[in-house]
Amino acid sequence: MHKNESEVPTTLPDEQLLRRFIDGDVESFEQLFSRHYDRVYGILFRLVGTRQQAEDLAQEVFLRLYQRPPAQAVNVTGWLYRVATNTGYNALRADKRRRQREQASADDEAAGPSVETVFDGRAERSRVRAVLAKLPRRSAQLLLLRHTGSSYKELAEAVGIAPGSVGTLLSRAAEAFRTAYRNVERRTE
Amino acid sequence: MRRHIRNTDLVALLDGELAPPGAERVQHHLAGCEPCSQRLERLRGEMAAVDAELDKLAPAAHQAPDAARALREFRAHRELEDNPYGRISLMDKLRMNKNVQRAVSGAAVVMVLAVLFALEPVRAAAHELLSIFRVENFVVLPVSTGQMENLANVERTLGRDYFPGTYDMITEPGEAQHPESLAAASEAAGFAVRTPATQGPADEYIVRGEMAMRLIPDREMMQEIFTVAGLSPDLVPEGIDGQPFELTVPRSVVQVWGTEEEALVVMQMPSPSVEFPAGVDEDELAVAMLQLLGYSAEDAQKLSASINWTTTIVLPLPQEQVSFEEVPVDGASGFVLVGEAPAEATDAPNTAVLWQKDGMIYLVSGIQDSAALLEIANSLQ
Repeated sequence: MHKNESEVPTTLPDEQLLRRFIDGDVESFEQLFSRHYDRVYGILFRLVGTRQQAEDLAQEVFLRLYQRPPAQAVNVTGWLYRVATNTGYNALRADKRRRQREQASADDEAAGPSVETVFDGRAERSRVRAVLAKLPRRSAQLLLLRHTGSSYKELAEAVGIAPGSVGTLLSRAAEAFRTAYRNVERRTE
Repeated sequence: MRRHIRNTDLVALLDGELAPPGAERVQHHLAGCEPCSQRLERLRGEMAAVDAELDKLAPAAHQAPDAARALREFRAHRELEDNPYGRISLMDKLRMNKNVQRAVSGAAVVMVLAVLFALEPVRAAAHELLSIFRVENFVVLPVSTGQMENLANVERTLGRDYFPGTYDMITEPGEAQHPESLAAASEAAGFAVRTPATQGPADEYIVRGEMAMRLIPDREMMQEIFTVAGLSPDLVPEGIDGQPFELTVPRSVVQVWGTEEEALVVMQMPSPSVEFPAGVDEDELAVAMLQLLGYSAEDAQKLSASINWTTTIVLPLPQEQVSFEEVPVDGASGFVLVGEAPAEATDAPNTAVLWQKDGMIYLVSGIQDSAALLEIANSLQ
């Protein structure tokens, strides 16, 4: 439903749109916005867990692109996903009172699934986020971006590593995730 | 080929990220190597387990993104930004909004401080004020990067010690006190200190003493600043020479939770005041100062006409470093200020909520996002 107002399709690559935008073409910016919004929102939603906050943070991410776009040579996807994961991860870690947010999340979801599912799911999600918050930032970024469909090239650009080392770091991140998960599980039992 | 396959290639194989020649080599090796096959399976299981967990975080159907609506919201916001008066429109809001006007009246920071604050000696003298607000660059109104550079250049040209007049401390704030409890802090400050219901007792209470200082401008020396900044020296009001401005910053209480960059800080203080000399036309002075801050003559006139400078506290914000938004808070109207970290920064930006209520100024700042900080601010009791 949210697609029916999408902009005129364009075949211009991101980098070219960015260059046009830097030269003053606002429409090019809007094409970048429409092209990447869903992914940016998806990343942020997974990290913060409420629609409202994910939307607010997504606006922040694109505002940053608008106000201070990266140098032309920069890969837009990598830049956007780095800023998005950083922004979301900061919000996740800074929030020491996650319980209340989870409550908000439950309110958010009340319109959807049944109360029992919401309740069970809420604890589960809270646990997964707690695990992400415990991981080294780069590990959490890698796992999340891979999960939301980023290619290794995008992953490498987003976290600033060589494409050849993505696999190694991903396997380490997965291992760290499993360990942290077991620790969190043990503590909540 | 006897060399075992590295994990990085195994994971890449699982993710379909291994280019065909490499993939074939790996497959070939796996066919004849039990340890590597086992490692592959273990990695497959590990990645799948992580994916299964992360799947739980995906938005439900009713939480799906709405890019079109988001873009509309973005446009609305941007129009405000792009409007030449966009940033100034905050000031228009101040004028329009009775509540805000009431909220800020009683607190006064004079425009003349802007130019003085741009210079090192006053920055040092006013350090108490700055540290109370925790806004490092204390100048009045949004100032563009270009103009910040221009003012820095003025300072380089005239020297860091250049001071357009004289100043003296009337009341030294003295050493800050560190009471043990909220009640002790209230007693030391002389007013009832409010604390957020969302937090337990603070880790630290700091009570700063009252500070008062007198600034006596020298018109010719002020004109020198305008000249170096590329403006007409005639802009400086004639009547300002030798007229004393008195700034009083009352006692303040700071409550701190946590440490260093991650600290949550709640500051409360009665509104500071400035005594404006009768012989100075504040509108004339404001127009001059606004131009020094980079506003055009026309914008400066418009702004000046809209604000009562003697009763308005003006937030000083280098516009490239701090963004702001008007918000309802604590039953009053206030501002959320967000420090802009570089895009690639790894630290959370510092966020602050600033408002005025019943003659008190409140500042809540921390690394929380604005929603979380507002929640804390709204829980003051």
